[in-house]
Amino acid sequence: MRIIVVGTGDLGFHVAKRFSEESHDVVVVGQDDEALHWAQEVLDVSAVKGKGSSPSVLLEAGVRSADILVAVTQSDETNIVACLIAETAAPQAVRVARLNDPAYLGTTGIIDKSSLSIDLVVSPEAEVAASVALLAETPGASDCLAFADGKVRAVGVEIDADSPMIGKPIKDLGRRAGEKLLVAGVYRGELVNAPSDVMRLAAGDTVFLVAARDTVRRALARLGKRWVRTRNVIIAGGGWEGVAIARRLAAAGAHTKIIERDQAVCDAIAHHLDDTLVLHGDARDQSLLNDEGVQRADLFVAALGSETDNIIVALLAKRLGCRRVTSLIDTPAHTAFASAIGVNSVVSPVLSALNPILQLSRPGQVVAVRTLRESLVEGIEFVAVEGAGIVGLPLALLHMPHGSLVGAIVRSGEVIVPDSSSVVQVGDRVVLFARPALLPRLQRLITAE
Amino acid sequence: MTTRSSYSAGARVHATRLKGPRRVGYLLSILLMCASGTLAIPLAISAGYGEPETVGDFATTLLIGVVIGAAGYFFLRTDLSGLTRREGFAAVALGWLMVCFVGCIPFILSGALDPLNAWFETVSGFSGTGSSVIADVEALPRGLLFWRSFTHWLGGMGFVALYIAIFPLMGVGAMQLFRAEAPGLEMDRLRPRIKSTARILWLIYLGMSVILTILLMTGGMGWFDAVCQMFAAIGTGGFSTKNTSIAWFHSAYIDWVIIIFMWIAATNFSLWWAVLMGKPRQLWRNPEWRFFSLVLLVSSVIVSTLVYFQGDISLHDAIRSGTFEIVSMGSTTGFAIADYEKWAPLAQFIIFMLLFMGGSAGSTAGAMKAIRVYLFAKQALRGLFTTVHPQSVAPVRLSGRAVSPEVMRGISTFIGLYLLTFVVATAGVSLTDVEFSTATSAVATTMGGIGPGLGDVGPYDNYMWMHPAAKLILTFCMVAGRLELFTLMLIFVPAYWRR
Repeated sequence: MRIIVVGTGDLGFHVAKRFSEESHDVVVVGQDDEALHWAQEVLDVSAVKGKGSSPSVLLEAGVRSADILVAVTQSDETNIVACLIAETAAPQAVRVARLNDPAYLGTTGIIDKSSLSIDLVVSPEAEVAASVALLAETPGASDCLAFADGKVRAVGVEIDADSPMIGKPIKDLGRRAGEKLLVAGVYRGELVNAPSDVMRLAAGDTVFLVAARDTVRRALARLGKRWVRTRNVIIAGGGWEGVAIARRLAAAGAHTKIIERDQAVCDAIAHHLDDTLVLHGDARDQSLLNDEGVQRADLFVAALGSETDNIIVALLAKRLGCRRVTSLIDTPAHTAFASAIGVNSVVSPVLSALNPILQLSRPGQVVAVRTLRESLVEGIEFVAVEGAGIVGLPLALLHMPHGSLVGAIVRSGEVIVPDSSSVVQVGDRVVLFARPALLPRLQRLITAE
Repeated sequence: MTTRSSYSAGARVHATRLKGPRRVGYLLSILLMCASGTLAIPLAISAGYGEPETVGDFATTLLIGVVIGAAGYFFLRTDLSGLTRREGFAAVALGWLMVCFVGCIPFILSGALDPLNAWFETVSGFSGTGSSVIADVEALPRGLLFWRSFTHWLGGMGFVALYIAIFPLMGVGAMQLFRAEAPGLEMDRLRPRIKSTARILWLIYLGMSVILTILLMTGGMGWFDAVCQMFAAIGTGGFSTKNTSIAWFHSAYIDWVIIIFMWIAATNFSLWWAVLMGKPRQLWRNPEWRFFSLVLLVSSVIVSTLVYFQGDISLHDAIRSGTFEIVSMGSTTGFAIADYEKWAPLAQFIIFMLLFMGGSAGSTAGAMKAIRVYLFAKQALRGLFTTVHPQSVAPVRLSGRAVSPEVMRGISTFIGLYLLTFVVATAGVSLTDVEFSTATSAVATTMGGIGPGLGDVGPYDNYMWMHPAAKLILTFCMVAGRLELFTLMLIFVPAYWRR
């Protein structure tokens, strides 16, 4: 497939990276010389310099033969114009735009995404808010993904030093929780795929579980995590992301506070957010955090503009007694590092926004794509169709490559945690986990020939 | 950019340290297997002509190469997707040296040449130079003669690019390799993916080769001669199967066909792709192509006139030999139909200057490349202008677009390094007691991948008589010139190996 990516920011770069790694023809369009140069240096893509809203630039990028156009610049207007040009030049192409202003999304009743000829709107802010909300719903987890309308969860849990599971083999975890869950992997410095049943857990490991929603709570309890409902949330940073998170969590019934340094920004967001307490101050200020009860907060989210600030503020909140701290971090190396020094969970705005885009290039009836931990593992949810390789044979006989597994099957609303003898039937929703590099080899399972 | 940092955590640093050399070793093993396997073609030719001894020489080399390569392939097997630029350079530079080494073994085994001369001949072949140490090529067995010409064709387009086009290598890794081997500034991507680009380029190359072979056979050449001259013309090499080069065929038709194809092979291949795609105007709009063709045209007119007035030659023969020699030298091929050393001094000077320019970027031609010379000259003139108007904002333009200062700096660096190499190498060759015009032209012609020079290395001389040290220097010049200096020279820079 030929994919044109307009925008060379973090999101644009990652979209180009993932698509080119999947052997698609990718053309990157942008104005920043250095970013374009860098993209060509490390990715197998070609680059066109120029404004993404210019027809001649898009023509040069080969828009006429494009299958997907992804416009993810910082500017809504550029993204919209790029999609409009693509509609005329390449009616067959799927058009994706990043939009931040909700007024474009039909809230005003004048204009909406179909009148702008956009097929898919992505908003890193909304995706981040959804990810954080999922974490808030799952106390004790460091990662949490939802599949099958929320029925299936993939959860990462770090083993604390006082966990009752330390030194016990993995199989004990399954038995105690009534076999209704699957240990998909263990992260110990690097990811161990499909660990053997006898592998013993150690403090500091992160266990990745796949389970039905109601099983997760019991599994977490077995691992020694207390299930405390997330009631009080403090958010550092009142940017787009912070506001989106506050809005989402407040809607779910949490008491939310936003700490923002800039008075003007405080005024502006206080207008929109009636359920959230907006505080004017510096989130790096220890006494402010103490005064605002950080030690009683169930969740602290660091959503400042700078990644290093996000790490430091989260650690500060943790030191002051907050049970659970989360940072927004996009740089993969920082992610691993932040978890290692005590940040409980990390959410990447870029990777969150990447998921719905990746779904477009997946053939067959793919319903959702979710990536875990800087794209270490990708979870794909799809509907098993007649003729797909996965249907009709016990999983053990499918010879799936090492590093991939079927995590859950949802059949008429019921979650089945599969074992090697499970058989997928036509119409089942299947959640498959795999390292991204393996996806081309797994295609025969997902699509009908 | 936030994405530049790597994933490797402290505990894994040790493991990653060995990954680089392993990847390079793995690539070299693949290359060794492919290169040795390629020897099956001259082997078959030898067998066809009933030369059992040569068959044995090729078979021995092939077997040893494939066995060693296969061993490396299985023991070093690794994931190539993380190939860095540095490793790409190392693999291509070492790969070229290795393949030249493998390629010279049949010459040694057959007893036709001693090791140093075999090395010289093979490097000259792969680098598309065409400087020879063999006085009587017609005495060589057919298999060896074929192999000698075939190296031009393999090296012309770049065998690493060939294997990228064929082998299922990962995207980014392939890109690093391709970039280290491809001539010119920044490569033109015919397709977003490097593999498809390499495939298209090789298809164009193959297409040209087939057409030229047919045209030469139409002109009365036997298939063996046609294919071998084709290898040398399309690869802009210059080895001929005849002692008197193209003059042996005494055919105006063959001369003109070869003139046209030398010029085609020295033109950026992406322009031919555009022509094939029905956009012939891109050819005309391309400033490098216009510059290159204009230089060849003007030089041909001047030299032909000089040759004509030197006397005793028909007008057509003057134009034919003048144009042939100019296009042959300007496209960095090095075929001969006349001895230009007997021509007027101005004609010889023009030929000497052409040794430096070379053909277009993205073609099989060598030397500095027309685009660099063109932009460098433009920048020099721009310098005059800005002295008069110190406040002017006047970037160097290429077809209407400003060339970034970074690219201009790259060109200046390249030309500086090229001339520096020329000076040092000439000094080295002169040390072996070689006369001035011979020494300078020998270095210029080997760096540019042309073949013949002036003085004692003229079109009807050879390099056999040279001192072994001079031969080594010249082979270095050939590979360095073919890989555009940086790729080969980087591996000799200590800082390159430091971490």
